[in-house]
Amino acid sequence: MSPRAPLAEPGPESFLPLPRDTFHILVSLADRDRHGYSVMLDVAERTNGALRLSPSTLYASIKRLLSQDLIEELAERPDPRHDDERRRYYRLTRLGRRVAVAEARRLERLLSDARATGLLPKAKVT
Amino acid sequence: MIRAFRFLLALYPGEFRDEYGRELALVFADRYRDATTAGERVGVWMEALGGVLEEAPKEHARLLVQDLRYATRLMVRSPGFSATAILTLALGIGANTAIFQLIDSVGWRPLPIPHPEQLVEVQIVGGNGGFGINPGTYGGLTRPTWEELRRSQDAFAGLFAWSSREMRVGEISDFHRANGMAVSGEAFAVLGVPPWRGRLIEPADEEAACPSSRAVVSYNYWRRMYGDRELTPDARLRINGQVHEIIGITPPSFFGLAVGENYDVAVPFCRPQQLRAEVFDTMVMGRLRAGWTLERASAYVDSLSGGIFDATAPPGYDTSAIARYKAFRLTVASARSGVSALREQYDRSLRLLLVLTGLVLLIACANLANLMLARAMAREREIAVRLALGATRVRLLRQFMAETLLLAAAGATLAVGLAEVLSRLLVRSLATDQGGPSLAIATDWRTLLFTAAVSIGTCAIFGTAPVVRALRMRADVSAPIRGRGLTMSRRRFSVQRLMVVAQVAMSLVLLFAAALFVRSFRNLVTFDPGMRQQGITVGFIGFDALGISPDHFGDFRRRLLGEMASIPGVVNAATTTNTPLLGSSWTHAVRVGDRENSSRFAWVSPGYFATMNIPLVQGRDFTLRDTSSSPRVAIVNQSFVRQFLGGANPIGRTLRTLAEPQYPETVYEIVGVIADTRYNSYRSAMQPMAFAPDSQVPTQGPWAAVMVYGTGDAAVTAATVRRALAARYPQMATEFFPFQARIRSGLVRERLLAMLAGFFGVLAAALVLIGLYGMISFGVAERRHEIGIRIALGAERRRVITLIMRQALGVLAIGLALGAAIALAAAPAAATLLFGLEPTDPATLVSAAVALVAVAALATYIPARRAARLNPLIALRQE
Repeated sequence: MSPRAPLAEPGPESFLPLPRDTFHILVSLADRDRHGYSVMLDVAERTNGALRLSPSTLYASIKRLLSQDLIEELAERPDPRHDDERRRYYRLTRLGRRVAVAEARRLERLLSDARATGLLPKAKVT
Repeated sequence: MIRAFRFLLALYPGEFRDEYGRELALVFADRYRDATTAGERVGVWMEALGGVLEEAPKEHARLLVQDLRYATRLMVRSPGFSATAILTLALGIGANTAIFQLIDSVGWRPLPIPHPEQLVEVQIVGGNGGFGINPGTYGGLTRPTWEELRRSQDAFAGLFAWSSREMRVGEISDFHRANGMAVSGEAFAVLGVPPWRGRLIEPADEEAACPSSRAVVSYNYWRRMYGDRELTPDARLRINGQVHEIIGITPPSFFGLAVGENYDVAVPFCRPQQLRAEVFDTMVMGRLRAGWTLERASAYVDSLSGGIFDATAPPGYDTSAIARYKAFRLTVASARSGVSALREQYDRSLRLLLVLTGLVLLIACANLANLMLARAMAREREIAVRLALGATRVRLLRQFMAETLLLAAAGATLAVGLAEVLSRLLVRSLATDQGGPSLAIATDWRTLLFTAAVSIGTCAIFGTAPVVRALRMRADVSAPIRGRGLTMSRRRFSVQRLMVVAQVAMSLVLLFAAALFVRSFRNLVTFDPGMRQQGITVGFIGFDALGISPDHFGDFRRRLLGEMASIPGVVNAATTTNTPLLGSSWTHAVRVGDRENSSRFAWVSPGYFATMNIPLVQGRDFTLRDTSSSPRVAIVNQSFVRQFLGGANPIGRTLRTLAEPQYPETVYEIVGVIADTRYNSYRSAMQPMAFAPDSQVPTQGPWAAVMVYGTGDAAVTAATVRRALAARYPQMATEFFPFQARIRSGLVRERLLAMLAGFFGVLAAALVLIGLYGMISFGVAERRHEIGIRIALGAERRRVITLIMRQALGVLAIGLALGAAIALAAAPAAATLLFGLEPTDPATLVSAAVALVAVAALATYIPARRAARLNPLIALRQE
């Protein structure tokens, strides 16, 4: 038996499955750090407007993600020239990234299961 | 637009708003700016609104859960404190809930029938003022009046009449008493009570001749008598000697119309050859016609009054009495909760008890508040650190409230269970040798609502002190350390002092109430009503089944008295037409010379005054030579002489009774005077009484009420006499019971009040002891340093004790003054419940105050002595 680490980081699997809104927020923070409105716009764009977060649901999620250490607030603004300096920016933490990846893998497995049983057509190899 | 959104954000808890409010507003502003069409803007608005309404409550709930979790942890960490607090609350709230349940079931709960709010009762405005014969607890109208009302029902969707009467069920030699009801044919239909088995009484049943031959029984009575047996067509019951067919059973929920006296047997009204117009034994009830209000229906029956009372005036009265009768007016009152003698008897005392238990709860609250306060002070450092770290006061406040909420909720939950037990005990304590009230005590939404309200009130009281304290605290980590100065700050525990002042005041009120009721009860138990009580046995004898002709009733009664007197242990026996001190009364209008008034009246056998040990102060007693054919003679009491003769010598004067049905005008010669005695209860005032020989009573019936005096225990005498009579006359119905015990069982309300008030008084004193002890101990702990220096500098220990005790003196003095003022202001409300002392009796108030001072001295002396024994070296070293 190996001794347990005193403050072990929770495994990414313990967060799965992620709520829909949470996953979309993590995905939109995957390529770059964003402020709240930017996250909203990104999510709406990627889902073709199917998922529109309201400011309230967005910040409720952000608050939870912060407390779960999946995202963090940036101390400095990434691009002070373009942005209103009052805005807060958020970035994925290491744990956050691992959780997002784990969720994506889970969804991938689900998808491949669906294809294997013929529920969905086989993916085209490009 | 942004401003409006900011306004909306107020729905969030402050912390969330502080953290994200600005961001939310910014995002909203961006969205709004990007929206191009009016439609889109509306969409943005709807989306924002929906989001806030959905998320804000979640944030609140999240915080609450967090606070409760924290509070639970704190509670578990100090189990002693938590258990004390929860138990105190449970007892306080439980006692209040129990009394509430009793009040509710006696007085406020509607009858278990469909639409009880429609049920009304037709009454004479102000009652009948004692006119005619009033045989039972429930009455109000006469049968002929009902027959008249029945013909004019414009105001009612349905009208019915009923009367309550005790019935003897079973064989003559072996009967039991049952709560009976006689009802008009419409009763069950109007009430909307369906049969549980068989059928209920219908109008056709009323047509049958008297005595009735059909009966309906209550579910409970059926179960008691027959268990699980099904109702069969051959089910029979002998009621008052007549065989009745049981035609049906009412459903379990229906207990009749008198709350507290579940009915057993109901028979239809029957029509005797002549309806007696002077017997007020009928209640008329009905449902209002749709659209009719109480006022309109009252006006309607009022308009009928003249005609009805003209048509039903009883014959045989003199003209002034008839004029009084014809002046009666009818009115309609709500009968939503039925009728209840219990309600009239107990309403006031129960309300008073609710006030007393409320006070006990308040005192307990004050104790709890002090406990919480002490805890808050102990946590001063933690709070200061949290304030310094940026916790808002509102946040701290929420947390304190969560703690009190948790304690109150736990206490209230326990209280509901406790109340269930307590209220049952209370109902049982109302029982006497004649059985107790049957009340359905249920923990329903009314009870729960009451408990919740009381708990929230409690919470607000004992939770406020620590909160006030917390709000005053500074975000200064060093404050608690610096606070330990040489002398204590007065402000520091002014809240605590206030609580103790309130406690002392309220306990004085409670102790005063306790002393009043205990003394009042003692006055009753030791009261001398002017006649013998101990050793007296009362008997009711019915000899209708013996086939004695009415001419010989008197002879037979005399023979019975002789036989009873010859039973070993029996000294004397006498008959009377009205037993004293047991509630019944008999009044005649009397004229002496030109003075006319009413006087109590009874016909007694020779030897009655000797049996009851009532001294004859003048003239002679009745003898066997006073017969039905000799001149009519009377013995009167001293009050009679005073009122009718102005104190002049009454011997040889005549008194004239005014005519009443079956009691024609008669002239009696006064031959003797007895000392004054109480009449039908201890509480009745001394009043004029007249007695005549039983041989001269105008109406002779096959019954007798006897008073037997024996040397032994009255209960033993009762059993002996009953056995001896049963052996000789198996067909005779007899009932014997000890006089004094029956009088005492009539004091059950006073006993209950004395018991509970006494208990609450002691409880209050105990709580004050704890509260004061806590305050002084706390003060001593705060001043350890100062006391240490004083002792080190040579202060005598006695002076240290005085110093500490002086602290309590102020609190005590203010509390006592406040309490005395409240007690004296509130006392008159209890006047009617007291016996033999004034509600503002100064001696009682002083004795309560002295008791409280003694308690306070004890509570102060213990910590003061501890302070005086303080080792100055140890006390100073601790700094």
